[in-house]
Amino acid sequence: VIFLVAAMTCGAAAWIRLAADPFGPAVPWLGLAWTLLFARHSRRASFVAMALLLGLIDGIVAPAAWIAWPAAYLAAGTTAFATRRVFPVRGSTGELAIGALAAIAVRLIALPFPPAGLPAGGDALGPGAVGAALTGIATAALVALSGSWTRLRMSLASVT
Amino acid sequence: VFWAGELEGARVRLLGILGSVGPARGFFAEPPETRVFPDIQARIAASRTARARSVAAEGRVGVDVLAYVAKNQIAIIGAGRDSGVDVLDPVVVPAGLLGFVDAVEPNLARVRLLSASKARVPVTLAESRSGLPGEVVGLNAVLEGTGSGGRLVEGPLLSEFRAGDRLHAVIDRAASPPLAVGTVAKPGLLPEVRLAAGPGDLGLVAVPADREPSRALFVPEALEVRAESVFGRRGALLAAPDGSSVAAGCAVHARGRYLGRITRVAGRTAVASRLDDRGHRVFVRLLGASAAAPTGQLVSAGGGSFRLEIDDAQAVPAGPLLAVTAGGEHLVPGDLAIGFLDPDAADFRLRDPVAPWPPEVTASVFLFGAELERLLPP
Repeated sequence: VIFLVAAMTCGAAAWIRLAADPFGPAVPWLGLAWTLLFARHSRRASFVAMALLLGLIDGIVAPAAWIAWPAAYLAAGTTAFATRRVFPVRGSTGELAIGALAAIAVRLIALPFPPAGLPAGGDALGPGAVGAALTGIATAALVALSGSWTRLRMSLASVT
Repeated sequence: VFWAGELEGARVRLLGILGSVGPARGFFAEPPETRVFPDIQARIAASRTARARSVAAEGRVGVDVLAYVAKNQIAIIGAGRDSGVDVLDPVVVPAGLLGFVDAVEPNLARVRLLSASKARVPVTLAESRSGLPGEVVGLNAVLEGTGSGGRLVEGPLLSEFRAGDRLHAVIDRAASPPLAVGTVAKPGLLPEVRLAAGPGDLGLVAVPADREPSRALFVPEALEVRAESVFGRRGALLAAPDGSSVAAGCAVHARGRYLGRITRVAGRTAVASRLDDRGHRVFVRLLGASAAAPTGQLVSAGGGSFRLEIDDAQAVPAGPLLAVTAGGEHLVPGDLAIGFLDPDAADFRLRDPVAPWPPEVTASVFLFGAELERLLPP
């Protein structure tokens, strides 16, 4: 159920990103927020499938080659998992910062892989920065949601 | 990588589905305003007429250049066997002899530039000269291309050529005026020659032909704009009609204004790189106040700013510059208006960009892809 909800929110966000042109880049990368939640807060680090699937959904409208986006999510998730003890951020502000930083990192990782044959090049900084900040907010919101949504909490706590 | 290309195709199809849900051009689409600039169109028409007149002489006809391959120094022109063009026909531009036809198809021909490696043409001094050994008054030689220029390789008195000697081709004695080939740049045992015509002269060339190309090379096809920017404010999403022949590389334009170029097509969905997208390149001709119309690459730096990459040998005309497509890029027709470029520090700014895009744009579909493929090197 959690997987389905995550996929549906990502699909909706992808559609909004396309329909909200020219404000599309400000729409948060929800797939990345879900990936970070499971990378940093699940007991069995069950973020790999989530990173790949949600990366593909978010990647439909991502400013990078389709294949690059889930790979970048996987890299961001792996980094988040590996450093969750090193950077034991627990507050909402910390989660927000990690989400925003991860969004920027994903964009930088995917920068050399332009989408659909377009020439390589950066985007406008303003809307992208808003998108990164909103991704951070989405990450913090999901962490907060995991405290009140039993099914999500159980999914994170599952060890089998 | 093959499968990566297939994945991108699948992604474009999904984008097409996503883009077909909801209002065309998104929730916040500005009302389209496709402005027409009669002065731009009039100036382009006048420039084309002047160029056609300058390249055309008796028995010659002006023909568009469709492609140029710098590595092999070859150009593809838009006239072929059906227009009377034949192998070894000389191809001429106002500056002089550009090269020779080395392969023909019914509607297209391949031109080998004089600068191409091992291209050869007999040449003679443009002016007679006294004091030469054996009391001869002229010098003859064979000009051979080196891949980037030319040099004189065969002739009885090669060491007698001097820097600045003007050379004419010995191919068409009836040609009036004689066909200029170049100037001796560096004398010696194998004198180096600065060629009169080169890639900068591509655009419209003249060939001996019985008649004008009989068939249009491009046909227009209407495309619906589904989203003006898709990937982080870059790239446009377009919907093609059933049975569309639109392919990657086709130019996208509206009312004679160049908007961009299609980069990928999957099913009925196409993605186009927009003129304003950072890194977008288009081969342009610059029409200034003077008769010179240099060609070069216009490269978008994003945010309405453009960089001009032009040969050192060509000078940027003074005054307001009108940039038009120069053709020579396989599927981009020549003489589509890009707009007036205003100098802005080291770069240029487009005075009247077409923004937003209209709900419907036109793609120019090239009709002779198979012939082009046969003429281009593998």
